[in-house]
Amino acid sequence: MKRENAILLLLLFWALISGGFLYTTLVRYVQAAEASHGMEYELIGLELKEKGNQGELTVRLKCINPSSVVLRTFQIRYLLYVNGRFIKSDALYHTQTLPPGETVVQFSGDIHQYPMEYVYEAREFGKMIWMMELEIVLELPFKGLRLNTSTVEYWVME
Amino acid sequence: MISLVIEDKKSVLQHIVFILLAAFILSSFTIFLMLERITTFPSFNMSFLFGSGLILGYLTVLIVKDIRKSFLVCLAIVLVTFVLTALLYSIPSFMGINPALEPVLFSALGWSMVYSILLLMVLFLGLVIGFILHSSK
Repeated sequence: MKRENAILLLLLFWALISGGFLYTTLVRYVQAAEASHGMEYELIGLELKEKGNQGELTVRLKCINPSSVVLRTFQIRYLLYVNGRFIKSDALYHTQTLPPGETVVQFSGDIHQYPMEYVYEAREFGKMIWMMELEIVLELPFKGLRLNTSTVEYWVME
Repeated sequence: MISLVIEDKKSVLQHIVFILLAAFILSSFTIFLMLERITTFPSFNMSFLFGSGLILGYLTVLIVKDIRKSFLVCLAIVLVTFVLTALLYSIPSFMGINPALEPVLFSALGWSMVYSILLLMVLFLGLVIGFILHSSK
């Protein structure tokens, strides 16, 4: 075999190995891009329980993971408003696995006495329009790679 | 341009295959570097990239033999690497997964240009080492 052909054969072998690694890397890359750009959220439940002068809020959020990788919630940050008035902000370290497809994430938080007055006012008005600005930090299964996703969700209580 | 300085068809084909294979290897290492945290490859990417550049520069000497032609072949390798890397990096945008096509493409072009310039220097270094080793024989 000529030297040139031997070199080309060696390069072909080298390229095949690189190609194998490149393929798996690109599949992961595409999945990570799908997870970061196609993640969808839907507020499916917002419950308010009164405890004396305070309140306890329970939120149920449907998370739709369009990728084929298993994600994990790392932190949930939110700002909550009722009828346009600020009620609460919180940042929870909430770890929950999000497999491909739909998963319901539930979390709760207290509403203190002072903002509860706005809730009572809104109730007297007859209709409570809750607005939640959510920022969810997700963890990808690649060396702790995190991505920030956000959404604004509404919930109406009659 | 290259075909002007290479004598026969067989060697033209050989050089083209060499350029394509070398560019593919280098662009895969560049992609590993650009997607460092997602890659399936261990995190020695920088050394793999520049080590490969050095070896490929040396192999260019063995394949091409002439110093002027070797520089042109290295230049062609880097140009193909640049285009291939930018295309591979923009795959999610072309697939419509990432809606922001332009920023991704610009960032891909920017980073592959940076790595291409570094690669060109490493390939030339490999060439020089190859010529020194061969002229001393």
